Amino acid sequence: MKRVPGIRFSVTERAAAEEEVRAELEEHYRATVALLVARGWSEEAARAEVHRRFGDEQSYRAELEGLARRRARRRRLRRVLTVSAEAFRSALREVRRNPGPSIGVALILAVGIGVNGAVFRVIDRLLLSPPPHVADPSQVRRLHQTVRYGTNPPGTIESFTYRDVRALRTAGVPASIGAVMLSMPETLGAGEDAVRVRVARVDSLYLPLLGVPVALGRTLLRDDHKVGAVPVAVLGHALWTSRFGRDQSVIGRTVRLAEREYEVVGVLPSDFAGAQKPATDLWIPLEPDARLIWGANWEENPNILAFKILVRLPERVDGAAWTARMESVLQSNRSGKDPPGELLALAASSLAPGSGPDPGVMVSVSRWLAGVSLLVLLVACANAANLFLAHGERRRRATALRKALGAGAGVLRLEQLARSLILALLGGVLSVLAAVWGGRLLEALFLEGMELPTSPDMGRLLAYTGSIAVLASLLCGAIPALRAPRGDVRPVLEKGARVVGGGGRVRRALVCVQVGLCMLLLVGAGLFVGSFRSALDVDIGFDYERLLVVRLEQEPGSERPRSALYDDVAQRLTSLSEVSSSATAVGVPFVLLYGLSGGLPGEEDLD
Amino acid sequence: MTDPLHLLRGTLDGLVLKTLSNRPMHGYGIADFVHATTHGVLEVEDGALYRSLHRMESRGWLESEWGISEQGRRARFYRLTSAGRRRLKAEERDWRRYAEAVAKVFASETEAS
Repeated sequence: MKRVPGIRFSVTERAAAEEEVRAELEEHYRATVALLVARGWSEEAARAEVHRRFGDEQSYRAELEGLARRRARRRRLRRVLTVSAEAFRSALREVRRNPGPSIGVALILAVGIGVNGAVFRVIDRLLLSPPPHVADPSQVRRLHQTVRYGTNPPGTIESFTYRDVRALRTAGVPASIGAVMLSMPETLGAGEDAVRVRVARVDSLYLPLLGVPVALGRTLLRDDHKVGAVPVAVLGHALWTSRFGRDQSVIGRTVRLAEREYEVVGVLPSDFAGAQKPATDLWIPLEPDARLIWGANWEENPNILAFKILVRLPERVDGAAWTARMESVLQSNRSGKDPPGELLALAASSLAPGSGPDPGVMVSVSRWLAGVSLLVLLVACANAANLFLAHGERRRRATALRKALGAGAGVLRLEQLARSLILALLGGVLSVLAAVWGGRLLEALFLEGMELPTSPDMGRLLAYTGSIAVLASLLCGAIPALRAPRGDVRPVLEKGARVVGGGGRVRRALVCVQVGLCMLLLVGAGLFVGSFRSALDVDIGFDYERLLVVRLEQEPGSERPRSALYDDVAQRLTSLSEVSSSATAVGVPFVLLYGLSGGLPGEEDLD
Repeated sequence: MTDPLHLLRGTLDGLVLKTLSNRPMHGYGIADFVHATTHGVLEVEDGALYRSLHRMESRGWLESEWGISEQGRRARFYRLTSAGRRRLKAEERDWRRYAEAVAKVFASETEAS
């Protein structure tokens, strides 16, 4: 059997342990039998007596073999630890003796690991991390439904009617259910101070369900949600900072939102911008506003498909079973003919922004980014492996001498792996800095204006970078380690022998790999730039350059009809010399659209 | 000669440690030493002896290596480690306390009768 160098099979250890026990007991039998025979016992009687004295032989033997195996395992572990420690010490000496090449390898690996860390930092914030400050976020789910309305094709959406919310709450299964109204940007303040903000109108269970603490003041209370209560609002930390300069006396002041005023009662902690996209600036009670917008019957109106649902499940509840049961509850609660249509499936996903049935385009962008960063890591590892091989060739005589003096192949390989691990970890430390700076650069260059829901989690970044460093050390250290102690050492050690590099083919192959991967990256970059240019040239049907969209709000309590306001403003705008034309509309393309479903004769034949 | 006594539970480890405190010995030698020193009063069951030896080796009180016995045969020799010496002292102390306590009980029975 061919043995893997440096690895002793556990089956050999097991056999050796059993053989030790067998030999020891056999010698004991033999000596005792000899003594008894010397005292006048017959051979047969002596053997029987020895077996009698031993008692339950099978049981003893099994126990002794078990103890011997455990001792053998402990000895092996001690040996591995001792050899590993010595390999690391030797690798550190080697790094100190050759600081130049070592730093070179560390820097090359730092680039490869750093690119991966920078990409992970962005992906983690965009897709993987649940929002901060949410209590036990693993128990919270977002609900999605796949619906078919009329003859339209099925679609998966995150919005429900409030009738659905009420049906889930009365289904008799322990779970906390909160709802938030779909939001559009709204105007905070008036005149020159007006800013656009995202407002979350949440029902009374939404914020308690999340368990997010306040940084200042208080959260929304149950009484705030009653119709007729004083309108109150809780500010997000970002709005508190930008609008009020973190003024502690903001509590009790009023903010004007569109045509209504709200008293500020609290501020939520920094980094928390809501549990769901998009990022939220302001939280206000849903119930009074919903009544104002849709009338008294809004909770039962099946046409208002405008609420996202969050669920916090108790730990003992099986999420899949709960979802299946709720699906049947909702199915029985609606008719396919009426909005929101026939429920085909209900799904629950975690709060991580990248989860769910429709995680968005960022998931595929992230996959591409991760693939590119992995290619960069491979290039760096191939480069580092080549440098290790070149260094190994230069030290071939020293290595041969050590081998001749008794250093095992396994030890030499371990030293090479230890060296690559040390340099990869050194590169990993440098790469964390690169990842932080590179991540900021990525965000500034490519993700400007994008809502990043959380702050970077350094613990996760360090864990990821560490894992990538270990992977890089294996990738760049494996080939040099396998080649380190190759061949007969005598020709290398002979006096005057010329040391000829034996790794030429491998090194050439590694160079080919580097060139190939670099070409792949270059071609990919070229294609990306081409696609980007094409995307910019797409005709979207209207000229959006030099176009200004203005949203109008009336003063609170104004009796003036809105249509008169719109006409007046449009007329005054057109009279300005800087304005070539103006128009009033109920929606803006790609932002807010109102529409009615319809059909054309023969449209079914278009497929 | 009277029948040999069976060892009290828990005393074998102490006897083995004490026997090995003089010099390294193999299993058969230990059993023979106890038998001879007690003039045949105490008899160590062979299976229990090896179980005790292996268990104490696993605990780090003994260590072993293969050598050549007095009969010129290959045998496994056990010797005390420093942890084993500490354990022996503890065993001796416990045994003396135990024996004194038992002796006191028997003495009190004699006075009462």
